[in-house]
Amino acid sequence: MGAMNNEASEVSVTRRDFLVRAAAGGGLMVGMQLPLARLTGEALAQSVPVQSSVTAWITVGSDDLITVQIPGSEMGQGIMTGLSQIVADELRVDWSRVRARHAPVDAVHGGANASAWGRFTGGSLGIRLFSPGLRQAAANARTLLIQAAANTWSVSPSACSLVVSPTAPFVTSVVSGAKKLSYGALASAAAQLAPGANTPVGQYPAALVGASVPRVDIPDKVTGAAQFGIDVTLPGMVFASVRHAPVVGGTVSAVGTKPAGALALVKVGPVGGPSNGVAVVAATTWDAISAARSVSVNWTTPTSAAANDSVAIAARAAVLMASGTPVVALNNNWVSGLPTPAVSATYALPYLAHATMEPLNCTVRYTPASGATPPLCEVWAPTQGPDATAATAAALCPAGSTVRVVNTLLGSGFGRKYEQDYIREAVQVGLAMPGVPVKLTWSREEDFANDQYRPMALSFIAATAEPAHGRITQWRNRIVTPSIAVQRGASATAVDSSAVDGAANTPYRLSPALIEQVLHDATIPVGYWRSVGMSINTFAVESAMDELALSIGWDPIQFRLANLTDTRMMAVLNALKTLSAWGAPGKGRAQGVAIAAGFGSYMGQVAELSVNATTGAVSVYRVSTVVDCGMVINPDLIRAQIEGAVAQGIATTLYMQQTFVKGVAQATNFNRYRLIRGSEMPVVDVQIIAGQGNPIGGIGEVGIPCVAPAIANAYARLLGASARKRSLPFFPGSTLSDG
Amino acid sequence: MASESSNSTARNTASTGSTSTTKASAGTALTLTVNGVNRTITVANTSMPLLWALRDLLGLTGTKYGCGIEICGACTVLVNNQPEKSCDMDVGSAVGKSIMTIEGLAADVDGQKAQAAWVASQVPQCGYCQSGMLMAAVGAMKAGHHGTSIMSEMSNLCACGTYQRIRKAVSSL
Repeated sequence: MGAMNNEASEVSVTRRDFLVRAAAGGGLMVGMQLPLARLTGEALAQSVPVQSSVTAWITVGSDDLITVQIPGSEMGQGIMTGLSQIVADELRVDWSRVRARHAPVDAVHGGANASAWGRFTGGSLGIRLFSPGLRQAAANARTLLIQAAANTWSVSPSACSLVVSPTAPFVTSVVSGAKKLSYGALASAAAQLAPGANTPVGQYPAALVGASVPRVDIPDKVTGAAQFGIDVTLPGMVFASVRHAPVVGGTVSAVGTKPAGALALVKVGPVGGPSNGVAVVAATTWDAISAARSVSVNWTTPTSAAANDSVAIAARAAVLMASGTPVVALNNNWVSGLPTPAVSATYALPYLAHATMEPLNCTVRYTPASGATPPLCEVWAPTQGPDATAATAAALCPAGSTVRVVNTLLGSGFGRKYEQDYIREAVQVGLAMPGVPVKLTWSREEDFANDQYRPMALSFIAATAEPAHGRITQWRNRIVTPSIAVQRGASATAVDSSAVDGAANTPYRLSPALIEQVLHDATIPVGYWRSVGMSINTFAVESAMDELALSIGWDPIQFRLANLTDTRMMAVLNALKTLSAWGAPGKGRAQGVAIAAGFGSYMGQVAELSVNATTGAVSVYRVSTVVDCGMVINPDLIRAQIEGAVAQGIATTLYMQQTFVKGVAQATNFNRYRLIRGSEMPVVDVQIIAGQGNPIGGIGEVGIPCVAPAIANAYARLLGASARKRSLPFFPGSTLSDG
Repeated sequence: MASESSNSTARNTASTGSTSTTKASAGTALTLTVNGVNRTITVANTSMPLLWALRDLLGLTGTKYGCGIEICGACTVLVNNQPEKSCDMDVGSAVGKSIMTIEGLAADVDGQKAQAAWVASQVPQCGYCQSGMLMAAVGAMKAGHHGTSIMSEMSNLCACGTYQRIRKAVSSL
């Protein structure tokens, strides 16, 4: 079984180098030597294997262990494992010989060298973005290893072939006649060779791709050895925590004296803007959190406070729905004068916090310039964007500073850890503590109250279907929502494709159809939350689909099939009928269905639930899931992502919301922002329709969007159309107590 | 101010529950028995939660901070074999008791079984909550629970939603 190699790399790059080399892009650099010491006691006690970087992404040890440098951020989705499987197949190595680690954050492994999107992990794109480059690097590494053997024996590479020892330790070797050298024996010579043209990939049949091999990151995650950002420990390190303005958009007016026990007070905030928080440095995280709570700060309350109130935001959304200026996202043969729609309904969704299990944190050690040595800023961060992290640090440090970033494991991300606010704050604190490493940890309360939330939304759908063939004859959808893109500088008059994702691109044949977006101008910061607009819009669209089916007396699955054209989507739905035993729920239970096409994948779910007649509590027993995510890398990783998304999706349906009173976030911990517990976890059946001839689809976000509408549809079936929940969450006041 | 002033590896060193003894300006020296080893720390305030003493003073970072209010369970450790949420347990009250953290699990028979079950069922995703999950499961095992009754003893939260696999993992214990 693979194990994860956690040691930090120490490849440095100056700020200027980083920018210049990243901008230059170009192909993979091959032949760079990275002498990486293994830090385990066992390894030190024995001879230390020599590590040779045969390409920048593939390191081969003299012990015949292959280490894959992973450009994507591991936050639980299994990207280290999936990418390593692809690499192992190209190299023809056994899974037991494979290790993985986050690649160094430097020009060689960043920017266009990593992917078309750089070192970005999100959008369910990870394996799609990074696998072409890694697969090519592995094929090239294989060619170099074979060439090294051929050179040693003075034979042609074509006279060489690969063999994998059939018994442990399953080492891969190059052979030619009776001559044989293992990858480990060839690695240092291969690393010296000049790379030639790219080697064709896919020359060997898939052995590991498509198989549920064990994850490389799990062994360290059951021993406490896994190093998340919050676990970074450095000699002489001190600890910091931050207190932000209680009102969204508030700023620091005046700060009182340093509390007892605090080592420093540092104002933090956006570059060039007024500070919006005060960080306290202390001897432990607890001292820092306690001192941050007690420090006296005068805050300036912004004029937006009254508008950034959940009651006001909802009222404003209703006004905008009726009279706002829409941007047309899709006009498909829309005409005026259509008959009055048979179904018209408004669906409402709240702001959601990300609630990553690991609170935001970042560690910085800033070493000022000394003689000819430029300033050094070292950053350890759990981040979905290590390139962006390096840029954040470089922008704050003196010109000419060397910036080093180490990307740690992430204790979940869900989109939150692509943002740079916590990185920026840690660098600001680090700069104020020259020579002293500082770990900044947000308290859970700060984490909840200073998120960049999934946007609230109000979605109105008016539609009609005809009963003879079950066809939708008109469809209008208007969505009022704040826009992540507009808040970050995009034009307010352009379509925000993420805000209408799942609405302007439903899987259905809709004509005439009009999809409009109206910008909500609330200034609560919004951000990318696992599946972004797709989960917002799928709740509205798939709820409305059931309401339409009911209006003409059609079965919800048959009605959907009557309006689909994509054969892959239809195959998912047909398989789902069988998997879920559709139409035969348990006694006292009902089923509800929802489908979605997005992230390059197709998804359908049936939720089966009951409702307690006395308490009204919802028990979800089973969520049957069929997914077609194209070419399958690892079925068990897919199942894990779906299982987890169902748990998170149930919580968003029943409990989760962030609300604001005059700009102050109300849910500041898990007691008022409820996740489900194990006792609430349904059985999740996952059927994967493998399409090895199709492109790889996304999977990280695909499991989320259908959960809420499937539950809402089951709920309405059980309790009647008049009981339908069109507003999330079902139980907005629900709390969790300690237990 | 707080620090670890010594790192004794002697297993029979007497505990010095000094919460009521001399309190120097540098703080109070406490000896904790963690994973069978006595370790002495100095804290400014004995009401500091055990969680932060483990993480920031003893370097045992496997125990995680999740909520600080005893809800999520990421900080769960065993104190005299009982699961306790270390985020809300005064470090002073842990003196003289046997503390087991995730780092000590491999030396415990129940712990080994639980770790093996977690790997066999491929439970962790991000893994951040799993230290607490494992400690809660092992605590339930030590209280005599088996199989799925272990699960009903566990209120820990997992944002990745690994509960189905936890249910499978504990079913073998």
